[in-house]
Amino acid sequence: MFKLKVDKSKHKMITERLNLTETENYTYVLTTDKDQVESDKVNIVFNEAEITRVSSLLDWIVKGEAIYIVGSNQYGDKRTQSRNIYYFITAGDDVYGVMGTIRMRVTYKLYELEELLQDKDFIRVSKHAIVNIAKIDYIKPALNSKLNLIMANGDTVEVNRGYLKSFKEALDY
Amino acid sequence: MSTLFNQPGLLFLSLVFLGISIYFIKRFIDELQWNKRLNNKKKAMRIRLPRGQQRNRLSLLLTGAISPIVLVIVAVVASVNLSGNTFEVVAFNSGDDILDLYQTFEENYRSSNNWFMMDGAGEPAMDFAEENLDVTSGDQGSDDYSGTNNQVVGVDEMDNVVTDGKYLYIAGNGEVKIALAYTQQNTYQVLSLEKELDYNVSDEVCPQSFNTKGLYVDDDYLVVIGSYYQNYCYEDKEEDDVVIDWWWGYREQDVTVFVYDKQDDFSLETTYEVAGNFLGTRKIEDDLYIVTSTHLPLYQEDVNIDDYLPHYIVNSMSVKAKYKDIVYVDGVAPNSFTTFYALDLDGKQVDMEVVLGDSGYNLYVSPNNMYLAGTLWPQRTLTDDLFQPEGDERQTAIFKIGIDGPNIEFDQYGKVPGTTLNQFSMDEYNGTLRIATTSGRWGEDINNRVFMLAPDLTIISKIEGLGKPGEVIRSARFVGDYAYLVTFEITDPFYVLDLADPTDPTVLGELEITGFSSYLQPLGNDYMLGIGFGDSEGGTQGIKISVYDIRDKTNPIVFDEIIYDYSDFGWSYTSATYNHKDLLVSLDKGIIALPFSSYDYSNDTYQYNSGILVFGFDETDGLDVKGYVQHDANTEEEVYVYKSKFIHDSASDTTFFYTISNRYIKVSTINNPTNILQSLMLN
Repeated sequence: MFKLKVDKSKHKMITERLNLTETENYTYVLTTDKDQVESDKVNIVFNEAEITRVSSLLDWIVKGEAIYIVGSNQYGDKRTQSRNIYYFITAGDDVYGVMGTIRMRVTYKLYELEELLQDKDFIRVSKHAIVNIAKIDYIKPALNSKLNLIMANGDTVEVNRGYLKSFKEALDY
Repeated sequence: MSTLFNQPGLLFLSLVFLGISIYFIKRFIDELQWNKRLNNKKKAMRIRLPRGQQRNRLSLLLTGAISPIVLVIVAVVASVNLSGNTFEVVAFNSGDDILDLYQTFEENYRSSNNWFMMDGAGEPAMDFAEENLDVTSGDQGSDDYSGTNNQVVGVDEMDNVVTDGKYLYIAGNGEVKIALAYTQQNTYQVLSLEKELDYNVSDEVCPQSFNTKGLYVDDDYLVVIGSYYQNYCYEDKEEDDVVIDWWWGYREQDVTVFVYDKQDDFSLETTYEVAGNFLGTRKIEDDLYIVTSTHLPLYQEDVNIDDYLPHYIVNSMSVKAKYKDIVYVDGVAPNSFTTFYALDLDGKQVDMEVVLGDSGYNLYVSPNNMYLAGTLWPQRTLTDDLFQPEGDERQTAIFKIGIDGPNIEFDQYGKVPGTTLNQFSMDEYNGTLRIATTSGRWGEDINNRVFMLAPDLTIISKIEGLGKPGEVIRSARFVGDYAYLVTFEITDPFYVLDLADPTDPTVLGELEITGFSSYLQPLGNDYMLGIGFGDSEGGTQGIKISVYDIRDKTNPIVFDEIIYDYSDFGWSYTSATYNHKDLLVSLDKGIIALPFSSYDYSNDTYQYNSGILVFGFDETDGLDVKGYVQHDANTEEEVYVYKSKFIHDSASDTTFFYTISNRYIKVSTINNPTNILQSLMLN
């Protein structure tokens, strides 16, 4: 989503510092030279010394406005940014959001969460679960054309066959 | 790769491992792709990637994927090294190299089956008593006489009684007796003892004895082969008297060869001594070949290989083998030196080829090659235990030594499954070695096979599953394009195999009869003589002499047979069932003769009868008993008649028939063998 136009010798260093994924289908042009701006793109001309601030800016651009989810458990109500939730899962009629070792019941239906979080890189993986891609640690293909997602907290969430295609598309951004 | 197909167990396991490997590889690639997508996605999401964990997981998968392939490769390579016909010859520079090799071998193989053989050391006494008796006629002998019953035309085999048409040479008890048997002038009447060569050394406190193994005779030379052995002695001191007692020992020493010049009144021309225990010998024209083995006690501490290094002595000149000339085939148990010697009787030169490895015992010699076959006991590696838990089939190891007159050279090493029966299990024809083996011991496990081996001893083809379940090969004979094979457990299937196409051997015909033949000898192209066991009841309690009609190879039939039931004699046997050289066969003279002894206990007395059974043979009447030549009938003393020879007198067109026992030489004619014309007492 970004194109970096800087001195070649510094290209690698800056890419790493900015934690940047460059692509041919880019919307943003990042450059240290104002002559390099491209007319039909969003151009960010920056000074190398401000690289940390640029990185924060990029974070803001990519991650967008935070969405807050409200849920409750035995300790009471909790409000948290959606990015802190590892996955949502249904148990009976209830929907739970799992954060590390904490699990809280949310009042949304799963399809409502899917719609709400579609720009936040949450993806539906089965009838019962929506996962936060950012919290997937590892993908283990299973024997039966399913996938097991090992989440950052160690939990395993299964990707059902019917959702495999959309899951793949979500990863292929 | 052919190794894999020859070992179904290994092939199956390889396929299983390959399957596992493919599964893991697929899984590895799948996981790699998914997680690469995930990582790219996370990167696009500007999330720092967790490090280490993924890499570990993928490394594990990759190991899982590659390990089975590596294991299969290791197994195949190890298996090829152990059982394939490709072999590696290892060079040595010193005895320490051999000790190092032994250590490595012991470490590599879980168990090694050593054959412990006695080995000799020290110098044998070279002196022997020579006693000249009266020299009688200098007249010529006959050109028409019976030679040794050799397996291969042109390759002479050693025997304990030989003749050259004039003299009979008889070896035994550490001496050789030379009897004048025939001259053109006085025919059989000259029968007399001409000379005795006594090799025993009896003037020492602890005597050395000579084991005369056999003789060769040709126009120029009489060759005596034997080994001195040291008796075990001990001193028994009683007060002032010292009593030396001794008994026969088996500490046999190196092989000694005495070569006598026939033209010079049997004067000793050359004495050869070749190191090792006697395994076998052949003679082709003036070249004498001897094979010996020297066991290496590598399990002993401080063993000095130099002491066991093969050597030869020609008229007191000694030559030792050089380490660099020793051939070792990698993977063979380095337990002994097998030494092939070629003695040029004319040139008085010796060529020596030393092979380090388990020695063989069945020697087959064609005009061009020596083949020594021995049992290769399973040497199991860790890989074998993993992949072939049941695959400990015994194999036959074959050393092939090329012959070029007095020069010999190690040529090939090969292996086939199963074990050989005797020298007749092998035959070389048009460069192809045919070899019959039996593997397994019990019931369904037994597999009788005939392998066709290329000059490099790789297997070209095979016939297997010969015989009924449980039957083993009892005799084999290869004649030109055909092989004749007898297997036995209850009945005697006599097989005719067509080996004309080495790539496609086939079973042509089969005959099933009772009893079995333990020795087969062709009678011309149309008949096969079988000497073996069989009785009138369909069992094996008797001696059976059979003649098979093999004119129709697809349908062999019994042409004639004669059975001697044990029950008629008490007990009887013929050495021709196991020693083909005791059998006299001449189609030309129409005679088949073999030793036959019986031992009967009746009326409270033992009766021992020993003699030569004589048969006439022709293609119309088959076998016809001509008589039983005995030297002493119904004695309690054992006069063992063990050999028969004939010498033809062309002047009277009479063929004289000589029978030899431990006490007499008796002469008759083959037309009337029981009518003894003259007798000579030997001792």
